[in-house]
Amino acid sequence: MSETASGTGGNNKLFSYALIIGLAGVAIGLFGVWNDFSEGSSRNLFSWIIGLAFWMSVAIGMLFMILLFHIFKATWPIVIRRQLEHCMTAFPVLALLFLPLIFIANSDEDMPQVHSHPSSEIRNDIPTGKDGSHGATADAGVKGDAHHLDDGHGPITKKRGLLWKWLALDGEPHHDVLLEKKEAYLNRDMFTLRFVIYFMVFCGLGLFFRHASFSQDKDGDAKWTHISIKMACVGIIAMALSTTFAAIDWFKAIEHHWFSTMYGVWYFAASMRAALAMTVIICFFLATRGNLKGLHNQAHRYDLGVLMFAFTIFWAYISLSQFFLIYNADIPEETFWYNIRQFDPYNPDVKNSWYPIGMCLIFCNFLFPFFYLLFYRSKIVAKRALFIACWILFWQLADIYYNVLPGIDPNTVAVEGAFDYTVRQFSFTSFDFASLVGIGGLCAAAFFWSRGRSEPIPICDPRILECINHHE
Amino acid sequence: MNFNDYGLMATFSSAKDIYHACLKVREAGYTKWESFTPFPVHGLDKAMGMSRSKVPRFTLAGGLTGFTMATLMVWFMNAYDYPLNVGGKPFFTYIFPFPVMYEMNILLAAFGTLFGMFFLNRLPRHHHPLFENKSFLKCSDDRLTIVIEVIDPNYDEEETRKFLENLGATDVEVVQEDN
Repeated sequence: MSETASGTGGNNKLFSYALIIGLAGVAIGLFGVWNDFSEGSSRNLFSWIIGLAFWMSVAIGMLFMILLFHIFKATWPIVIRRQLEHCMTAFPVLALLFLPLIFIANSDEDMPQVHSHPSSEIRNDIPTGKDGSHGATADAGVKGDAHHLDDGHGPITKKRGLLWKWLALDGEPHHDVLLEKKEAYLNRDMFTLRFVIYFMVFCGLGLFFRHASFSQDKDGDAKWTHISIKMACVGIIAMALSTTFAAIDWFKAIEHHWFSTMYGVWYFAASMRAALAMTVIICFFLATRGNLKGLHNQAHRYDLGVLMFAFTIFWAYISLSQFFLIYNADIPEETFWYNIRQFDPYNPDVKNSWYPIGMCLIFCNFLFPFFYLLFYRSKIVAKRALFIACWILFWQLADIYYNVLPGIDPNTVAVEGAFDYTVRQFSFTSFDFASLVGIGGLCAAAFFWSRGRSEPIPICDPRILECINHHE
Repeated sequence: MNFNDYGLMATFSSAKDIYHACLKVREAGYTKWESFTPFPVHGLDKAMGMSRSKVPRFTLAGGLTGFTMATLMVWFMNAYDYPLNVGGKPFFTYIFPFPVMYEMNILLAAFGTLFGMFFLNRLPRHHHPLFENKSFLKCSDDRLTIVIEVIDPNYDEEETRKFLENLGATDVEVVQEDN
């Protein structure tokens, strides 16, 4: 531990700061969740899941990178891989932070006073015609009734549906045909069970690779490298399935009426971008003022830059493909998902708040990084790479907002004949900020905690010299 | 048969020697010269003072041309020459024909890369005077070679030979070319 000894003081300090900031942020974020849950509203629950979605994407992408490095027996990223292994300690933290949402999903509390929710008043203002109107308004009144059969478009009756609306219908009588077809998958017990399986895969694989690499530091045995490669071959299949289904369960099922086969791949692509960007940032600071000085050089930066470039294109390819297929098929069951992200359902000529964000995703999250990373010097000059990494991470957050937040408000009272929903518009609340900083802070604390417990690089890896002498 | 001098060929026996020799040749101001090694020597391109390849410029030009051409083609066919209403979609947008633009972009970018490389390397080239030299063939085995061409403005047979011998060349000889 002689090498780490000089940096231990600084590392411990950073650990304490990250822990304090993380705990404060998490406390505020969870207070928001608790507050909204008891009031029966949902925005702060979304703050929490956005924070989780963002940091999960970074951690999942990093685990995929470790798997890929092992599978390809890559020698150049061995120094970088050690930093990713530190990040794997974030998975147990994330599992713990996810638990409040699982408790909410399993709660049996009723929603308070469905009738008097402000959104129902807005609904009643909508003109529905003169004579034919009583049918529509009466219908709306019936749908507001907590004890009536639900078709999945009305307001929810159970608090567990605040985030995942279908959970409110689970176990209750309903007329939601699409949910009926999906019930074999979308039911409460399976949802909870799958949560356990996903995190067993994430934590198990992540901590295994960390353990194998740390053990090799001590005994120098090449068997750890061989075991890791074999484990990675199996692990990548488990990870591909877990990530896909986790994305479907947690983020896509917020709008359970929707169909898309690209969603899991979208989350994977976004995760890889976020993880690569975060890796570039971590390596920048370790190489300029940490203990990777002279170990993380231009050739490593170049290769990370190339990967950032590749996954920028991959992300665009996946995101466009999803939009492209839905646009061309033009089936209402699918197009509504993009419609609510573009215009006001009552007046399609008026763009809503998600439209500029969608445009930014095209131009800022794809086109600008694409042209920027085309240039060789953007990849090798450390500060230029740092800039685009921060840029990608920022727009990754916007992408998470765009995909997670704009669901149909579950407190909406449906009106027949008109569009029967209001769309949650874009907003950045202080609870969003607290959740992002809090969850990120605790993940960073886990990273610093792990850094204090090992050598800065895998000193006994059989191919460590190839990595240090890596050349373009 | 008429023979002209092509250049001076110096042979070295280790990567270290040729690396330092390349530094010196560059410092001496030679421009028309080349090194040949049986395996990649890391950093040799920098020692020789070579700049980055210019192929990416051809790639970019090809890509932009492809994208623009495909855009114009789709617009001309679908919105100008023969507008056809398909499912109420606009005659021209970037969305439904995007695969066409994307594929043309990639295709011409690949052509740009391939033919740009050919152009910059002056390929295809069927013959090179060095191929006729018996001892040059060793540089596909265990010898590393520097060749300074006659057309180099600094070339002077006697002085250049001395210069190369001082760099630690094991063998210096004149290579001739067939006119």
